[in-house]
Amino acid sequence: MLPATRSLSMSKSLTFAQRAEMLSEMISNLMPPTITRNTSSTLRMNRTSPQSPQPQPMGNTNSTSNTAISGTGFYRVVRDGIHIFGLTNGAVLSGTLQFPIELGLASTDEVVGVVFYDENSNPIIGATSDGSGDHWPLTWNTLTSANGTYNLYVELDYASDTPAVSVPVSVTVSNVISFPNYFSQNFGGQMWIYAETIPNAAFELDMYDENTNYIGTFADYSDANGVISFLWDLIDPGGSQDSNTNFLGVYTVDTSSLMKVSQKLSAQNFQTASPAQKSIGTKASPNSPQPNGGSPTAKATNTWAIEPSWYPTPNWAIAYSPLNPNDSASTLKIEQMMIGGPGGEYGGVVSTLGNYGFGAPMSPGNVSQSSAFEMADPISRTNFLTYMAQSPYRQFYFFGHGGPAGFGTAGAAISQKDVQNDLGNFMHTAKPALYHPYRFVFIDGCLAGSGTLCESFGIPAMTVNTNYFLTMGVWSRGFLGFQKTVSFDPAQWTWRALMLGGFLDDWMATHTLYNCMTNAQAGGHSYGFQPMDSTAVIFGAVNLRKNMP
Amino acid sequence: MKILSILFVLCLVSAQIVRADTTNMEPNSPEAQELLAMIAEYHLAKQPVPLAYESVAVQLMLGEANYVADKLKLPTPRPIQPTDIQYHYISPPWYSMLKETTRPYGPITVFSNRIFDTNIPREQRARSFKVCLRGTIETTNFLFVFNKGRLSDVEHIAGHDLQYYPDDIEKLIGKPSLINDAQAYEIATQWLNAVDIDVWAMEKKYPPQVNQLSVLPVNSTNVVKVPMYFVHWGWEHFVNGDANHSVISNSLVEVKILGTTKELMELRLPDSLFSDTSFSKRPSLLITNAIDLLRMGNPPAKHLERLAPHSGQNSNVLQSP
Repeated sequence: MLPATRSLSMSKSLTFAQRAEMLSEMISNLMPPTITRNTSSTLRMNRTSPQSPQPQPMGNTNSTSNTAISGTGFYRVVRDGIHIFGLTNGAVLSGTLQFPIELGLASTDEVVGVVFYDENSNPIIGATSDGSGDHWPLTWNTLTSANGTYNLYVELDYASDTPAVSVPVSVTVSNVISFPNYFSQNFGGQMWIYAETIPNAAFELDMYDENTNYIGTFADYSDANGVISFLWDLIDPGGSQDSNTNFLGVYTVDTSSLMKVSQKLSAQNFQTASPAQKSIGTKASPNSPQPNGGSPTAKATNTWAIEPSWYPTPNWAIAYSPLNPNDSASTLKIEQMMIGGPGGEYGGVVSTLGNYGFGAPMSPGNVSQSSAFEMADPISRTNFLTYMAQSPYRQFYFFGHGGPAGFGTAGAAISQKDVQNDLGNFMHTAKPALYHPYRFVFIDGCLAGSGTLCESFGIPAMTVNTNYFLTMGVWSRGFLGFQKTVSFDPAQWTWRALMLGGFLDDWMATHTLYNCMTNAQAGGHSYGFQPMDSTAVIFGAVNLRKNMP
Repeated sequence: MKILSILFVLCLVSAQIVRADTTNMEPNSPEAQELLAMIAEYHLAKQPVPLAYESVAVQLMLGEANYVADKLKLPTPRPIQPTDIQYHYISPPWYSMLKETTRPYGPITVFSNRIFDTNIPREQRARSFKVCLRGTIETTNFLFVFNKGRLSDVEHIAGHDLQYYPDDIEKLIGKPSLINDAQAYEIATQWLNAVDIDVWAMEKKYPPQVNQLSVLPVNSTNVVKVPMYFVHWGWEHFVNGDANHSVISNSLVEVKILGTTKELMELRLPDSLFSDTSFSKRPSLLITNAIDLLRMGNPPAKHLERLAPHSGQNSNVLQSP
């Protein structure tokens, strides 16, 4: 069931500048004080792992700070390991926030990235860290997170060393207007407008084009769950197709009923249910909602960007990295697993997909029954990134070390940021853009499904079905990764090659990605041996099939 | 009598012990190594399958596709000829043989849990595999998918790997439907019956549902139904990762019908390794001589040679014999 399509109605109220000013005022009212701090740290030998939430001794004795501690009850606990500074248990958050992250770590290994997740290893949507060296600030656009309480872990990932994980901090996200269906900021043939707010509240959404010219307004009421959800067919009030590639929308919601609802705003689960279809009024109508009619209001902005047209070509970017570069014997077994053994007798990856098999074009270095591309040094890393970014490659397989924020090995690690930048897929920026989304991605390494690595491939970190993508008029897509650490037994490479061959054979036989996964998890093609790890998780469409739109 | 009963029970227990031993087989055990040896010797998991195997598999799929196309009166040239096949894919036998539905998902053979017992000649055991048809064939406008030796999906397509769906669904707005929900259900069950699905047995387990696609026209606030019907039975539930992720459902059996023409858009049956396919009364298509076909190497590749023309002969002109 698809959501109803909507057309923009022309109306006029405030100028964009006026709205922006009001928005800025509103945000400043909603946001708690943001704390910034410059941190430099010496490194200690203590490596953290998930611990009980007890204050720990601080290791970075050489830190400097210009932090102004606000009067919100923050206190500083000096600890080693990794910590979010200034975020305390019980904090209520809204808007976009920044917090510095303290590091007191011993490893000199390359830092791949920092990720944030909850106690179930579900990624914290909208929480990102774009840093380098020992400076990795947390930026959390809580507007893209569903309202509710989160036990927030921060994890720093190395290219090969064990990740460092913080103690959890329990915080509550509470926004009057939020956009947890964040992938709907991208659109194809039509636009899915989605927000969560107060149930049954009058709202107005003023739309502006990429040059901030006012286009028109939607006005209606949110539904009983507080959901605003409808499709815009991109027909402008004049009746012609709007050709803008970017839009900005300013929501105004009547908050007079806010005190009547509970602290935790109820929300429809857009991931499992089709958006409700409902009528939308216009301001031109005498009965249209009037959120600006004297009642208190809240405002928020959202942006949308078109996803450039592409086609899910069957080209695969494929690589593996050694798990231990000093252990040539185990690396050889990995290569054998990739190839499927001599002559591809045990399936494997490249011989199942390659020219001798289904004829799927593979990235250079992958030859059926012969060889697989090894990413083990900076040159091969650069080469592989180049292949990944080439337009035909829309399917992806990697075996090796993985983490929530990257994959590869020491000296040849590819971070989420690398993929994001080289592919041009940006989801949590003021101007979202997906220039090179992938159709299917399988990162066969630890923890790749516990963060938002999928987003760098243009795949949202949420579980949906193909209708979800069709709603936006874009190609469906899926990502497979693991939420926990997984292992590789070199002695059992044959069974693992059979498991992978069966998994890909299922995919080519048009099974749903979910069936491919569960068959492999059962060891259905490998006599029960070397089954796919049970913590495999699919982001994107679980019912994706090879030949689905 | 009492002694006989005791003996019978003892036999059952010992059979269970043998079975348990197989179930708990270690990956390095002689039996497991024998399995790997068989996979390698007979190229059971290797792509591509030999031409001989491929040829037989395509021929079987073509036969079944024609049976289905006739029964469903599909709008495609019938009989479908080999030259109509635009694309095909064949699974290697290891992934397509009949297997148990419980761990360790071993092959179903007359040797039961002794299938990897090296005391039995390997050839004899290999020939006991029930290698089913698994793969796809595509014509210009239909895709046929086979699993476990049976058709699992027939689908109207717009091109290779492209599901058929009207480019502009709004073109269907206002178009009169030739059928209603009840008739859509009737047609769907007729089609399922036509391809030998035991609808009565299926509905005892999975009650039917009929849905019609709804859209909202441009510049309108009224949702309208368009003549596209979905008749489905049963649901499979997707539990993702650690089960803390969302659970999504997908219909197990689905028939899509275009109401304007009463044409079939898709007929899909369960295709998971663990799916219950007992509703289908069609025989499971087996490649009975799979081992022989796998043994047949492909004919040697040869390169075209340009011969020197005989004196007075123009090499660019086709000569009459």
